[in-house]
Amino acid sequence: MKRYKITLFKHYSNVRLYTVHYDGNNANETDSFIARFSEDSTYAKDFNKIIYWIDKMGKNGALERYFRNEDYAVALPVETSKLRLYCYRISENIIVLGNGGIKTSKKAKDSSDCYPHFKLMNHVAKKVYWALKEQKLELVNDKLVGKLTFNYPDNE
Amino acid sequence: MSKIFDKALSNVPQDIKNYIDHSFDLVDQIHEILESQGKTQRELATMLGKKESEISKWMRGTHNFTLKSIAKIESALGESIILTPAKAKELSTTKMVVVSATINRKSGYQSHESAIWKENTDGSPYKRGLKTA
Repeated sequence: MKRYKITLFKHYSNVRLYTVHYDGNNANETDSFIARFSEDSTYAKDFNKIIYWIDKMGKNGALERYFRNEDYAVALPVETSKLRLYCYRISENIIVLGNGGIKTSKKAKDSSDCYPHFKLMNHVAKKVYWALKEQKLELVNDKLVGKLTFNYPDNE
Repeated sequence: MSKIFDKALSNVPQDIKNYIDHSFDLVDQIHEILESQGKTQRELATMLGKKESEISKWMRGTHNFTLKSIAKIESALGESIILTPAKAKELSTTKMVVVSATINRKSGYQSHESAIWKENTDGSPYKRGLKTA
């Protein structure tokens, strides 16, 4: 059983980006993604597009039409690329960024590099959704306030 | 806050930034036109003979639009999506002309019903983005 906490990643005027941080890990999931791909020349172009796209979301707002649905979570949508960063869009003003990898098959579950991150973000999406519904978590001035720590079963 | 993200952002090449900026500008403009016309992405897809999923993919902010696609979208929507600096300069030389106005003399209430038309310097009408006052 792992535990993770949803922590603030970056704050823009109208948008807050959160990320997922496992207990005991030095880096959060999004920093891990960036550290992994920032030096990988194979995916440099797509990585740069994702990074700048995140910044655009922060400045313009996370409009629903900018995202591509991946079950409960969403994926950052670099069209012609195999590189995927999974996230959960809570609202136009709040996104939880996750981690990602290289998608080598049509379905995420068949891509071993992507699937763990896809599963994690879907878990985050469900947990946050229910926490908000049960008012254990609240949106206060576009900030997440309340229960931000969740258990992630090993066999999830 | 994420220092590694800020560093990665500062290393994004200008041409990638331009590419994403242009893609966003285009999709936001298309979205604005659709909204002003009361149309949906599905209707745009039908007009272009495409699946809605393809249009949805275009509208995410990373699509590499071809001039051909832009021209087809403009044709379908009847409005320009791209405005170059030269074209903007040309349009800035238009003048405003009030076409009509009515006054309700009985009640003393002045109601103005007018369509404000822009007139190009050559006299041809140009009514993009105009509202009834």
